[in-house]
Amino acid sequence: MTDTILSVRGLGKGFYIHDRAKHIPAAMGVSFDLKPGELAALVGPSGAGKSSLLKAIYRSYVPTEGVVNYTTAAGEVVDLVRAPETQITALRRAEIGFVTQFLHCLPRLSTLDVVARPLLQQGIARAAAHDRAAQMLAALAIPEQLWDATPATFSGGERQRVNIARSFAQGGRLMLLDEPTASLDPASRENVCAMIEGAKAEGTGMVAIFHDTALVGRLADHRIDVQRAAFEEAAE
Amino acid sequence: MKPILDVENLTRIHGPACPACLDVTGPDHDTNICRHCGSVVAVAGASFPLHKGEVLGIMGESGSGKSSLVKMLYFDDRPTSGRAIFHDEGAEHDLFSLNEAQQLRLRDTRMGMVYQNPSLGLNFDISAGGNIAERLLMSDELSYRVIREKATALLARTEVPPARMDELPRNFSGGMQQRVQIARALSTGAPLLFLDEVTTGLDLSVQARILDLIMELQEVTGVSMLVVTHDLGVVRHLTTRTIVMKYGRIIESGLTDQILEDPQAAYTQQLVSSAL
Ligand SMILES: Nc1ncnc2c1ncn2[C@@H]1O[C@H](COP(=O)(O)OP(=O)(O)OP(=O)(O)O)[C@@H](O)[C@H]1O
Ligand SMILES: [Mg+2]
Ligand SMILES: [Zn+2]
Repeated sequence: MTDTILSVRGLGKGFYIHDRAKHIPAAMGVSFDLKPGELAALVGPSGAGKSSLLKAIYRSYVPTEGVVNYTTAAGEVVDLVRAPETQITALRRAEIGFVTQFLHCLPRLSTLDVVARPLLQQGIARAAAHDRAAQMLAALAIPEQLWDATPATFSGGERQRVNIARSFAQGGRLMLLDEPTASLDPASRENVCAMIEGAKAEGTGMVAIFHDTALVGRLADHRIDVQRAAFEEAAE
Repeated sequence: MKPILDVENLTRIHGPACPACLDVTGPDHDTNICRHCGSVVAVAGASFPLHKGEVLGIMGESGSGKSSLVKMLYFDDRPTSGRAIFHDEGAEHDLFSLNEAQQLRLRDTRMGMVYQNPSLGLNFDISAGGNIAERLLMSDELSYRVIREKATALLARTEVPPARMDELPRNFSGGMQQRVQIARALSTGAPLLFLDEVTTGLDLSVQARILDLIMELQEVTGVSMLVVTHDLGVVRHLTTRTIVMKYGRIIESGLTDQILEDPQAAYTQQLVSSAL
């Protein structure tokens, strides 16, 4: 128990759409344990609810059932399903990251600043934050000429890489990754894999969804089968 | 994180008010007007904490009571009932039991407000620099030199060109007026800031820059903010938690991404899906 970072029990997610008076089950009772440095891959057919589970762990979605016990850096066990919002906010800032393919950003910040920002928010000095940001951008092969420009004007793939650079610059004890390599070219994909392996080696626990099953074989320590939930239960 | 502001059961009824007002208004009744006495229930039973350093969004349709709520907290209006406790660096202020002089003093020194309409937050008859100086004077800064220096620095921080410091804000663009208003609101280093639709009506590109600026200033100063808006984009970019109001009631609150991606209340689901 002591070196389990995440213990998920019976986590499920359903939506109630008021408009149509319908319950839509999105993901059914999933359970798994994760130790530092391990990666659990959520595997299942399209529509099985993999992303919903990931968002339920991060609390972007309100989980419908289950327990997600996370062990904080301070050694406290927190059920993320029930933790107060302020605690979730604090954990997101310091320990738990979420990586998607999409980057929302405002136009004023340079790419370097976008990547360094979460570090600055954690109170890391500007120079150190910029060093780390530069290191990440270089590792993902974003040309240095682009670092001063805003990512708002970048191509889809470039933006995705900036987003990944930002998430990995911040690091954290637990990272949730939703198809981080989708739509990247093979070279970029390789860079991202190396980054994931590096973070694992540093002890970051990860829960990930991969488009590409070869990556599951390469990166995952646990394979979590997500079954498609029974479709559309009877309306209430 | 401790609250800097605790709002408890805040209610504002415009009109004579009768014992039935609260029972016959609200989302369940699809109105904020009491059918017995004709009073408008602008805000009813609003309770929430604002945490230190937090940016809390208040969203809802026009007329839902967002501005009314903030106006009471900034003493632009008085509540019919309810309390608000301002935990200001050791001092505890029970806002609505203070006398008027105490309220004005708090408002001038420890709170800031940025209105949608710059003419409410600025004095259009004095220069941009003068607007900042005026507020600094209210907070007892008396040295002309210090005031001038501070005003210059503040305007620089909100990216108002120093060359325009002595011009009247009435001649500025909408975006520039908002920058002066923000500089003025921040001038005393107040820990509590209210923003009411501050980007509404501005060009999209100007909006984005103002939002970015607010975010940056928030990070540097750690000021706690209550951000009123009907714009989901503003909520998404600026806030970490959000309150949703309808007919004067708080019907839902949560982490902003959760409110936007997995809204629970029927009304919020509608609001979010209609904005897509
Ligand atoms: N002084 C007043 N006298 C009477 N009714 C008022 C007064 N001020 C506000 N109201 C009413 O209270 C309700 C809430 O108004 P408020 O201005 O707080 O809404 P809002 O959510 O800020 O709307 P908007 O998005 O349009 O700014 C409305 O029905 C409004 O007409
Ligand atoms: Mg309003
Ligand atoms: Zn009445």
